Amino acid sequence: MDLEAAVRKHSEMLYRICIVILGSEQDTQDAIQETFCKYLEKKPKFVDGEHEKAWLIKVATNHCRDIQRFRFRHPKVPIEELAGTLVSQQEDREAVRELLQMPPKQRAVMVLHYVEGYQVKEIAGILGITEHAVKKRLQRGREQFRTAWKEEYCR
Amino acid sequence: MSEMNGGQLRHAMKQVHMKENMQEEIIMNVRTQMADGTYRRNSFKRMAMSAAAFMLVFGAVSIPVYAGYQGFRSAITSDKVLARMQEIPKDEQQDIYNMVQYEQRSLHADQFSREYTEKEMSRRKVLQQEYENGRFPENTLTMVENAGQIQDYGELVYAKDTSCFYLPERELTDEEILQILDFNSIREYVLEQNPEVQRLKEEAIRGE
Repeated sequence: MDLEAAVRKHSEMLYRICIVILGSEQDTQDAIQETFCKYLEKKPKFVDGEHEKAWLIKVATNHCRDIQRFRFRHPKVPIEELAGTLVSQQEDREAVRELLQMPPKQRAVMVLHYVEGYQVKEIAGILGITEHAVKKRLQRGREQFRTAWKEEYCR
Repeated sequence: MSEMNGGQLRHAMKQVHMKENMQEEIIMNVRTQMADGTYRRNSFKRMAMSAAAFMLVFGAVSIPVYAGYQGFRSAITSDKVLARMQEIPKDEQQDIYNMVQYEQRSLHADQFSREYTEKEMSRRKVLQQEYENGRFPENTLTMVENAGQIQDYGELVYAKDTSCFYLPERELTDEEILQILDFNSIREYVLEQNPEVQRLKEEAIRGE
């Protein structure tokens, strides 16, 4: 397995997913490192690049879940501050802030669908949840965004 | 969310990038952890602590995840090393246990200030064997509470706050490699002596 090539190719994508779930730069780096350690340890055989990407997302989100459930985390950065750190444009910041205000499970689904372009069935497979759960989370996320946008722009 | 807002979210998230050196740090840390075996040790700690947390939250259930660890064998497989570990005073064991707990809480996996050289890696393999046969370091690893206290980067030092081994630029001596091996064994041993971990182990064995 070519670690360096895999990190160069996939770490930015993993970073976007983990940072919105964990809200901490250090936790995110830890989750990505553990993902690539597992990548080297398991040496999975991939059918193609998409398979590899989905495997890495699955492992990374599992690590994120473990971090959230079982371990103490590094201090979380306040949402406003984190959004400002991640993006510079005001409109982008609003979008990221709204995303970060959602429950972590919802954030993961939103990013996988709207940012990484996965369909409901694929997200269900990656996260190990039902398609119904994915749809519900997407629906809630959409509603939250709609409300936030109305509040922001219809005042 | 309308298409516009979906596009907005996509646009915003595509502007999110890792910090400049993070990729290099990830590559270095992954290589170090895999080469040094710290990933496996931390996997064990994670399993044990996760199982412990699960037990505390959900009550007594079987722990198949813990059962996966070395078939319930101790990480200390050498009688000579075990005898050495058993000589560690209780208060010293408690200090080390507190340190391991801190690492767990702060999610620090061990880090190294530089990668081992090829020579150090091969030396380490040989010394691991010798260590298990009773060749122990003359002194213990030098530790500091935080990395800021390190006065001399020319010597091997372990900083507790970052869980980082600061290695000298020169090649590690046999004594220093033995100190690292000894330190790792002590942490494994102390963790295993923890009543909660022992209880999980016993329960998992009973559930076999």
